[in-house]
Parts: sequence; C-alpha cells; structure tokens
Amino acid sequence: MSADNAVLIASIVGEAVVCGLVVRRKMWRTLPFFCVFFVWALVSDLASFIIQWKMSAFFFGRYYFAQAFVDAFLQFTVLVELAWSVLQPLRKSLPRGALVILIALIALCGLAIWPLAGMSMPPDLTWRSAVLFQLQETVGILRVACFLLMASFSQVLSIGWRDRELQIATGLGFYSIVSLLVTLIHSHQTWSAQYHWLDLASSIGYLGSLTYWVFAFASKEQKRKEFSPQMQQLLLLMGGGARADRIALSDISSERSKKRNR
Amino acid sequence: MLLPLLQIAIVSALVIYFGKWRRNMRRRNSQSWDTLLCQLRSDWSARELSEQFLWKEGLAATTDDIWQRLDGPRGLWAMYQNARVLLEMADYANRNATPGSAPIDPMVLETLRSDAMQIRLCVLMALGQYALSQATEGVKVNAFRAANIYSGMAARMTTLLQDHAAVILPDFVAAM
Repeated sequence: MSADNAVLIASIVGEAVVCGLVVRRKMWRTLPFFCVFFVWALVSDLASFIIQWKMSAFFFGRYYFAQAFVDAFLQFTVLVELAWSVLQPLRKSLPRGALVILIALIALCGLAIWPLAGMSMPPDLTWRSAVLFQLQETVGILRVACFLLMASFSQVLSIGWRDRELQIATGLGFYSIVSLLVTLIHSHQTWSAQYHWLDLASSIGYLGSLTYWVFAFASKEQKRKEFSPQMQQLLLLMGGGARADRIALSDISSERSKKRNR
Repeated sequence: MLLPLLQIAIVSALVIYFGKWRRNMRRRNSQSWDTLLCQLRSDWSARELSEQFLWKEGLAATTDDIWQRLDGPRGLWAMYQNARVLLEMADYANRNATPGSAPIDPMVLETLRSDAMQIRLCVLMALGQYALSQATEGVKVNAFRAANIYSGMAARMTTLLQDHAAVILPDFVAAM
C-alpha cells in the first residue's frame, strides 16, 4: 500500500469517527455547517478512494477538480458559522443584517487573497492545475486570516469562546498553519519531486487535526462549577443597574440631540 | 534570501500568537470564581472618582475632574482590564448556572456584557484619541462615560458583598 493510500484510508476512518461523535454530541444544533462539512469530507474521500481504485486517472482528475470547489465553499460556510457563533454574546447589540455583513466581509477577504495566492504559483502548470492550486491557497490563507481576526477581535473585546468552538478552531487552525507552511515551501522549491511529499505532509497535518478532534469530541464538556445564589444575585444586581445606567445615558444623549435640533 | 526569512518570521509569530491565545482561552474557560475576583486590579484605585465611591452610584463631577481623578491613561487602562474580569464573570455565570434552579435572565447577562464592552470600547476610543491629540474634550467625555458605568457597577457589587459576603468585602474594597 502506498503512503498516499494509507493516509487516505486513515483520513476516512478519522472522518467517520468524527461524524459519529458529532452526531452523538448533537453538535448539529449549534454548528450545523461544521457537521455538513464533515459528512461531505467523509463522502468525498470515500468517493476519491473508489474512483482512484476503479476508474481512470483522467476521471479522477475531473472529479478532484469539481470537489475542490464544493470543499472550498463548505470551508467558507464553516468560517462564517464559527465567526457568527463567537459573536453570539454580542448579537443583540449588533445592527440588523450583521450576518449578511459578516458573510460579505469574509467573501471580500477571500477575493482580496485570490490574486495574492496566484503570486506564488509554480510555473508550467495546466490551467486546471493552476486554478486548483490558487483555490486551495486562497482558502488556506483565508482560514489563517479569519482566525487571526477572530482571535484578535475577541481578545480586544474580551469575548469568551465556548469549549466546542475552541476545539474546532484549534483543529482548523493547526491544519491551516501546516497548509500555509507547505504553501511557503512550494513557492520556493526548485525540485519537482518535493511536491508530492509536501502535499503528503499537508494531508498528515489534516490527519493530526482529525486525531485531535476525535479526542476532544470524545471527552465530555467541563463540569459545571459552583454558582451559588449569592453569585447569581451579584450578577443580577450588576446587570440590572447597568441597564438603568445605559438608559439614563441614552436619554441624556437624545435630549442633547433634540436641543441641538432646536 | 530576505523574503523566505520574513515569511518564516511571520509564520512563527502566528504559531506563537495562536498558541498563546488558545492557552488564555482554555485558562479563561476553566478558572474559578475566586480566581476571577483576584484578577481585579489592585495597584490602581478608583475611589478617587467620587467621594462616595463604592457606596453610592453616579459621578457628581465634571469631565475635567474625572480625568484628573482617573490619573489619565493609567486609570483608563485599569478600568479596561477590570471590565474584562466583569465580562468573564458573565461568561462564568452563563456556563455554570444550574439549568433547573432559577435561571438567570439572559437579558441581564446580555446587559452586563454589553455594558462591560461599552466600558472597554470607551476606554479604547479615549486611549486612541489621547495617543493622537493628548487630553482633548472628546477624550475626557469618553473617559467620563466609562468611569460612570464603572462606578455604578462597583457600587452595586459593594452593596451585594456587604449583604452576602461581608468577609471578603475589605479585599474587594482594597482591590477597587
């Protein structure tokens, strides 16, 4: 068995286990697109395995090209879902249509990265391989950029991440960094045989993320800590009074604007 | 030669940043209520904000007075950090409130988060403006707004500790 096939089979097993855990933990309720992405990853890898085994290399090439677009689209939806999930504590303070703005921002970010990803393209590629290369590089850089933005934004505003979101981000982040490293080495390499080994390294990075997710999703969420009635009372008092403060401040500012209008 | 080195430096910085950020988030999700209380800044005191700070809500002073009493950007930064602790308290409540017993009104948590973030945003705006143009009126207004919400929260917390946890009240007063 070749190294490629071994990694592919290990990925299929890993994806099947992650799918099972996702169903067991009922994660589709909070992160539906992440679940769809994993079902898709499992189905497409199984199809890859069968096509490689039963059909011609030409047909496999066509199939791989088409599935890369679906994969890129699903990764985009996972990024949007994760960002929206992180913004959950702020949702009521956000303007209407914030989700549409978020989708547009991430899409614009992807569009801006597209030409940059093309700059590191190796020479002598067919148009199909060139598009595939540029698409995969764009998605890889977009993932890193989105995580960087989400992490810095949540740090500035001190937004907490729930355990599951953090686990998903850790897995995707690790895979993204490995992909980014592979891309960087690709752009400087002179020996074509390195290509294959670097792509294999990227697949092993994905396998690492899968292994992490299996362990993370298999473990139960943290136990609830003590939250006494006194602590609850503290929050009620602070929260209630803070709301009154805000109303008073907004009243003052609206009165000021009325005076100005007069 | 310079470009590969730059790329390696960027990727290394990213790896270190993500690692640190993840460790902070993990720590944040697993800390106890006592640890949270201990994180309130104790090297800066907001008691100069008002004559009855911690015992009465609201600020009866001008924006100039408050700016002086805050000790400029130092006080703003301390409020920024303490607001993070308040936000983490809200997250703690959301994670650990027992589902069966008298759940906390989500609106209360929402308001608490929103106000703590308002403090952080006001402080960031004030510090940004201060860095560009020193202590102008805009900086002082933002500082006043942040201090007003902050003093209100601190006063309510004192009342509550007085009623329910008088033993830790002196530590809290010293920390604030």
